[in-house]
Amino acid sequence: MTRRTGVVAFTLITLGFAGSALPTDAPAQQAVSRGWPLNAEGAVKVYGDAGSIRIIGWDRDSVAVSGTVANVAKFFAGGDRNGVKMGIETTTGASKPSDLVVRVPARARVWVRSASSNVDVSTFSGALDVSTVGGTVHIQSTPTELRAESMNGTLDITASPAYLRLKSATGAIMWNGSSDDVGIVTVSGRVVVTAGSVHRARVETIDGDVRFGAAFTAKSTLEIDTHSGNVSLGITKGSNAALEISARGCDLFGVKQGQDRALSVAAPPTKFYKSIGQPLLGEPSINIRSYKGYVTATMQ
Amino acid sequence: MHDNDTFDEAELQALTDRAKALPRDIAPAPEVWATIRDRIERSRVRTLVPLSSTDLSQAGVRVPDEPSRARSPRTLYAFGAAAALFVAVATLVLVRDGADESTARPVAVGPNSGPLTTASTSIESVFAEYDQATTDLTNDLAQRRSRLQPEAVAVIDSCLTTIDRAITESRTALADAPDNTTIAELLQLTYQQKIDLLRRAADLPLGSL
Repeated sequence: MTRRTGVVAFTLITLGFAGSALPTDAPAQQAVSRGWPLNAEGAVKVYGDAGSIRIIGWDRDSVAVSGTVANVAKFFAGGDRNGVKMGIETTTGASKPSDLVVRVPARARVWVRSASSNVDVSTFSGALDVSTVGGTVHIQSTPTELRAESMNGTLDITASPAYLRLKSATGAIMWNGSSDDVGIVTVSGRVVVTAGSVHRARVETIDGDVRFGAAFTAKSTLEIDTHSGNVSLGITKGSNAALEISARGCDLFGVKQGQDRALSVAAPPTKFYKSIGQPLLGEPSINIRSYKGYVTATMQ
Repeated sequence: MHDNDTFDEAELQALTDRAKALPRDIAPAPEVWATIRDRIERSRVRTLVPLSSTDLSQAGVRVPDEPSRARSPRTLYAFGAAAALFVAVATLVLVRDGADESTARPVAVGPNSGPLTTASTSIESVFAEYDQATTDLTNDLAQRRSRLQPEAVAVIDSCLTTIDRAITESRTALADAPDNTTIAELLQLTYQQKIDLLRRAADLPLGSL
């Protein structure tokens, strides 16, 4: 045996030992590919754990799911033409990411619950209800109604449902769209709304700042209540509105009123009024209340 | 035409007159709330499992590993407290607006006036109910805390700290200006956020996040 042959043999033997030392029974991620017929407006429930869930609306009367499931989890599913339920269930140890892509009839009713999975919804036009504990929610669709909730994940919504409810604990809430009925609630999350038009909207935070931009008609109503969040209101030119503001101080269309925003002494908020356009007589259409926050209103 | 479909103007007028003669508001008897509260308190008593899980499973009884996801009596109690505070704040608003119509939109809030004391006292009593409800839910959270993921607990704790600070500030401000409906209503919303957050925490799946 030459010296060179000996080196090669030693290397192969070493690699052989190393290879045999590797766990041979560790399964790779499991691939999932299933499908079911479903009525156009049937119900779909999806449970996730960690990883991602992607919901895609399509123009078929069926549900198709594909993706990969972590080796510590199992995929379960079942249903009939009226409803399909599926999900990821961690069987042993800590959660590991699983990724599902679920294609559903575009007008179905979809319900998603997850622990930390990020949820993404696109090209969907039915009723949608999404709730995750720590994941982000990204929706770019045309749902008829929408509920989305996360504890500390960000809600990033581009949609114009007739009915909209968004909720978080610390996660930011960003919404672009129009709606007849809007409710946004968060404890500390930042709220950023860029709305085309709203008929009735309500925003509640404890110390989360609120930025709300929209076009208002004489029949629009907006209520923003926050304990210490600052509120920035952007009103589209041509809007009609009567503002009633209860705050420590404000800057209404370039005119500062009340106390400075840096004031830290507790005191009851003061009320300010302002009308723009040709608002109807009666109750104010925009009502903003902040105990410690500062309110700014601008034309946009 | 059937007799029941006959329109009797005199009878309608008499009915209208009788309706007008009725009192506009009827306060519920104090014992009603006491009865409701007793019922709620009774529902909070949890039945102890008489046998071990092994014994029960041998007897064909399934014992869930986790607490039931059904709405707990404490959550219902929280709903009751929320409703009670809503009524109290609404009372404050109505009493205040009814006291002087010309001050419906005050620019500066003045000191307390006579009729408001009752409403303010009512709110104070409801605060106690609210605090009790949140205490119960907080205790539930404490029992589940060790089985929740630390990240989820950190988020909840952070939010509770923020909310409790807001409650303290609002209650202090309300004590200084007890007829300030803006502060009272903001305080009500803050309490509702706390109840809602604790309910959401109670609904978190164990090991989540």
